Amino acid sequence: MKNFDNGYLQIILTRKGGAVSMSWQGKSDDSNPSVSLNPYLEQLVNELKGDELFIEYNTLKYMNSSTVMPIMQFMKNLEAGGIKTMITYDSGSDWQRATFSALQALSCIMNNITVKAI
Amino acid sequence: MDKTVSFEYYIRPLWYVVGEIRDKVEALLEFENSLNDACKMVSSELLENALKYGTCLKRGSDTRFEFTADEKQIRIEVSNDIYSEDDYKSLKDNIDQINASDNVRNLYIERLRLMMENTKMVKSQLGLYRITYEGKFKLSYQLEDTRLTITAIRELESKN
Repeated sequence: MKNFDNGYLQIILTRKGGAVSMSWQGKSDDSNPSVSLNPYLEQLVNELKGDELFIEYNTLKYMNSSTVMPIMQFMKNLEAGGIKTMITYDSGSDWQRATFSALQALSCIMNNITVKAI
Repeated sequence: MDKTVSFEYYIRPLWYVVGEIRDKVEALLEFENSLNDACKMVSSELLENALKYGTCLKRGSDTRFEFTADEKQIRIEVSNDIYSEDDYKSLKDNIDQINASDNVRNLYIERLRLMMENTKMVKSQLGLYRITYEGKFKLSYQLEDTRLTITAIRELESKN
């Protein structure tokens, strides 16, 4: 499993036994972030089969609305792949609370994805 | 914030300028963090829309960005030439729908649900929804000939 780094956005992976932590850091403001993120995240879903995933957005400083699409695609792929996933965000940040609480509402229909404020 | 902050740019449609203007907004504002974040986000989203869907039809008609803030109001305005009537109609319909809604959060979630069902959606214009739901700005638009101006305004509560 490889980390992701486009100079502005870093996605850092850490494995501990059967659990993988994924930390999004920096800024995501590409014009079309799906181009670079989708292939990376699709590959990752294949490598995560059988693992539990913890995604931390708390340290993400900024993301544009175009980043929401690859995140939702990733959530869909994780759900389809049966990968138990816990997504956390910073409830003290207005922009994170607005964005991720909306994704939290959508995740209610998913069996494998949980979104939680911390 | 006790003083008025105002600046205006005419920019070529280059993506890196969005980040530069976001940094400029951050450097100039003296609001509390969440309001500063909202101003950066709205500036970015409006500019990104202009660069994605707009065009430059003739010399001197670059994208215009104007930011004004005082203790009463924040006003962010972006003007650009439109690329097509379809793009304008789509944008107009989305802003009309947002302004007619009494629950922007639900509208935002519904937009996400549509995007979730159709992840190939090319022009989600989610940024417009984000500006009103997350940023609490009110949107308006004006078209003169081929020149589109989108204005985002947030009224500030009085300190007294």
